[in-house]
Amino acid sequence: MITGMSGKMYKILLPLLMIILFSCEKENKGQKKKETYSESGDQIDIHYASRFQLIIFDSFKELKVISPWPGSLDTFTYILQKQNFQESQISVGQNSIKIQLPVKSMVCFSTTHLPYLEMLDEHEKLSGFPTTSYISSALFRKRVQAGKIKELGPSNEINFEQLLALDPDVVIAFSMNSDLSMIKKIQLSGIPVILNADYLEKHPLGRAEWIKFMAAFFDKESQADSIFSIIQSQYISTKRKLESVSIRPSVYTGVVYGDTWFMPGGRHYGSIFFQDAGADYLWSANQSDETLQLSFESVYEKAQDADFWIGVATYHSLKEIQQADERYTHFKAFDDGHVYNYIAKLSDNGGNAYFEEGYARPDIILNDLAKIFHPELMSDHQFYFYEKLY
Amino acid sequence: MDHNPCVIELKNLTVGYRSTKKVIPVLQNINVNLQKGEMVCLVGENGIGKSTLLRTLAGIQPGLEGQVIINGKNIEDFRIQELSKIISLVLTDRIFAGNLKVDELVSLGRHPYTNWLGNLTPEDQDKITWAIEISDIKNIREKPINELSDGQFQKVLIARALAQDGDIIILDEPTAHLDLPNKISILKLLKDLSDHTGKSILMATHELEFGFQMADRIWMVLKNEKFISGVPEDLMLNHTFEKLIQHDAVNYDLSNGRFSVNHELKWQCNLEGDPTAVFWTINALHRNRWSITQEETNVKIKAVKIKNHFEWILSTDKKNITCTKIEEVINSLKHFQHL
Amino acid sequence: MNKQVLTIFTSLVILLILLLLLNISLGSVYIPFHKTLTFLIGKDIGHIGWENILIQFRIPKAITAILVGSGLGISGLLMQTLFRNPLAGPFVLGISSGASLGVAIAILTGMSFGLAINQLGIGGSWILTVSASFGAFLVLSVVILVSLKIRDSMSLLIIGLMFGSATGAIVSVLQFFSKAESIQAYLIWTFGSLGGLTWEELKIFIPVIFLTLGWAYTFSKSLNALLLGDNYSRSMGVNIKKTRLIIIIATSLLAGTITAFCGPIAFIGIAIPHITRLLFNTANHKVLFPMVIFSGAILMLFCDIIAQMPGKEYTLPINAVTSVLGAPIVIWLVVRRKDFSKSFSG
Repeated sequence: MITGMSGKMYKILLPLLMIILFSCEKENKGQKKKETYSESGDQIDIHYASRFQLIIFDSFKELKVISPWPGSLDTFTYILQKQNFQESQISVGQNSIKIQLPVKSMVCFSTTHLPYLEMLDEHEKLSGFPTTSYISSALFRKRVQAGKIKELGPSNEINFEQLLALDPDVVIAFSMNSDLSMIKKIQLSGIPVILNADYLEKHPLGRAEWIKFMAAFFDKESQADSIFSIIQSQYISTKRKLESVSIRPSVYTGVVYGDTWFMPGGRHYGSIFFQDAGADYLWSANQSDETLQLSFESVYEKAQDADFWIGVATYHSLKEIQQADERYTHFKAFDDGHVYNYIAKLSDNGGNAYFEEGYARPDIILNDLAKIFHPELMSDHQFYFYEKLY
Repeated sequence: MDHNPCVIELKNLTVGYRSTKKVIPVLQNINVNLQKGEMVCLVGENGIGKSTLLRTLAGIQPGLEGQVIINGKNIEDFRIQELSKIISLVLTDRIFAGNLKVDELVSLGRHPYTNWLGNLTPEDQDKITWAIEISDIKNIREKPINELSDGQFQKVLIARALAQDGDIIILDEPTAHLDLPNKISILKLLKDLSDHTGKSILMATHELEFGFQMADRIWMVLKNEKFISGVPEDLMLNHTFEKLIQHDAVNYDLSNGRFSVNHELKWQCNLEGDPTAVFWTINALHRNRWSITQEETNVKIKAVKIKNHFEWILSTDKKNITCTKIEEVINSLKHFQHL
Repeated sequence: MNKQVLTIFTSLVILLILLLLLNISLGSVYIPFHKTLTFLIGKDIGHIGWENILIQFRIPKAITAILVGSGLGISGLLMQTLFRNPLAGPFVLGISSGASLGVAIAILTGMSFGLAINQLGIGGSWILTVSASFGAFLVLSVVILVSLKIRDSMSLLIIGLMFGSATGAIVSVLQFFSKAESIQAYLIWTFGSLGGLTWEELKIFIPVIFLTLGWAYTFSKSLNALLLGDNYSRSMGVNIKKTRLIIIIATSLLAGTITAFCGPIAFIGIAIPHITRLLFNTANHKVLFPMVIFSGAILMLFCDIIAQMPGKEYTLPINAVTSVLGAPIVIWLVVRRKDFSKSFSG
């Protein structure tokens, strides 16, 4: 890890180094060759996220997104040209484009991109969004209602005409596979498209760290850094508090669909949350960072006497759970009523802030979980995303 | 006036097809009866409507106008189950059950009589056995029907119809794809049924030769859809039959009931001799476009019977040739074709 | 019953019992075989977890497998006889397409539909079942109306196929406008699932399938007549329209109920009648009917054992197993008996 230059960051860096050794995982970086520029630049500190890098030069910034979809070996390089500087002579190739800063209007393709804008106070830059009904944030919803955010249709088949008419400075998109035809189509019409890979980060803080990615477009790197430091330190302080608990309650998560129970693997961020919150996640020994597909009976065998059942899809009540499948009631956690779900912040249009703001605030999620498992240690915290089911 | 009661009466019957948009009559205004114990052959060219008529008489296709009266009752007043005990069918439809054994198929004929499980009573078994014996298929009783020859299969279908034990059997071209021996055995079977069991048989067929010998009555559908019923010989002598088979290429000789193909005869010769030999020699000569005349010609043929074989003596101006086979006669004649 | 049929029948019964025991004993959780047996004969095995697994998961699933296998097998048999077509199966009338459409609407249009059904007092697992039944019923009504108007059974086949295409297209459109999670939830439904039925659902599932099978058996006589074709059947006193109607209703009850509770399960309905026909070399429905029930149950239990991937924590979707396993079986049988087409034509 290359040390940064900013004075503020320096103070947090050393203790961070300790934690990084324990919690961070490094993703395969793909192309390792370094671009050689005439200028020298400072790479900003990224501790948990593994899929983007940002180097700030005098006249431009180099933003790299690594392996933006599952199984991808590609790296995308985005040159963000600073204002009032001569245009750099850097040539752009197949996986790179140039963008002129500052960005005055932006279109995002996922609700998970939005909290960063809100936190950086750049929410007014969002000019369009696909399926605006998915947005949970009250702030953005108001702007949608006021007509300030254009509806662009379903994200897999964007309304091109509307998008072209909107003519945003940049589009932040994501891809689930190597089919980039729609993205290329947008780029051909002159609108730059940036791939965002935040959904693939495996560590809770890794996802939140993408605020620094978003900040690059608005020259708000230091703000992002501060905000993230706070999130990070709150997360770590909670984690520290719980590291030494003597009793770790056992926990399982998820529900069954058809014959399959989707359970996060031991290295999935779901598992990391539970472990960091002072619980014993029953599948923590598993080595996968993907979601496991288990049979109902094998979940039952392992979790029948577990203390807590956390995260139950869209169920609102124990009765609903029982009606869905009577066999859920044979678990001790259900019998004792220790069932919690992340539905405390539902919006009236069917959205859930847990899947929007939640990704940017892992510290709150961790606090919620810690309060569930060790309420006596978390008396100051009020539940935010989670609530108990009755 | 016939003493036999009518089992089927057709009164002004028109048969055909009805769709939601239009009505297509195929045969119109038929007035004819089938009497008890009669064997009737329905003849007429392909496509003229024989099958349609049979299906209507069997009650499985509704008529367009007029009435079909079965045993004195209008066919529409019958419940299908009642009717199925009176009329049974043999059709040309394909069967999609190759795995069925012969006796299983014949047993299906007892459908109108068995209970909901299809259980066969001893009486049912007796009828089935009788049907199998009379149709001469006892030795293939256990075989699956996809292993049968065409002739055997046809007999099985007839056996099934017999097991159904109705007074009336209606058959649609039962001998259609069969070779001569099979044709004969089936027609004989039907004739025997008609003679000995008192069942009435109505059969659509192209077997004119046999039909005219065996049927009590012929129902004939002519080209203009005119429907004529009569005893075979009457239809011959009043020249109705000829109208059925009017064709340029064929001649019909009423005196002997034979068809002869209309060859384009080109050359002439004289022929005399043994009547049997002469009869067949004419057949060969005509096929080779030689006509026989009473007038003087250059080619004279004499057919002679010597003990148990025949000889022909060809005489022309130039020479005489003796042949022991008609084939030689024909070959020799080829030399004279330029004359 | 002749001796050969009796022998094969006895073997089938033994095979069924064996597979049933095997099916209950094997699963992703390892339970020693003797413990399973002990439990099944009514004795305590001192391990609540295992007992619960057997009672709540394994036994209901085994019962479901038996009923699904028999139900689909018989509805396939009914369709093949009615249409005299070896390619027919339980879903040719579009029943599963209708059910899929019902489920697609429920899942893909999201919560509003689920809420609506909740108001009717139907909750949880019944939402999908009701939606599927509704869709299947809708298609069924149209099919019945049509069948009453037409003379020729073949036209029904075409209509069923057209329904399949149409509903498939509508579902695609719905998916297009849906969230990824909804699409995945729908996709999971299409994989089929035998393990989703608890004793609550079985209270309805068992009687419906059982009674329909019994009812269908009562018209095996007419089914035999139908083998000869519509014309012969009519001449033997079979009311074609009425027979066609009850065959359609029986098929829909079987295929529709099974699809509603278990999702669309492929292949079994088409394959089992053929396998049975070839094994027993008969077209007589009085024999075929019970044999199809046994063969269907046996094959389904077997496929389920494989799908459970005993010893592994994950399972395979049942549809994948029935197709991958079933196809080679039929191919092997057809190749072995070179006269397959003859068993279907005369």
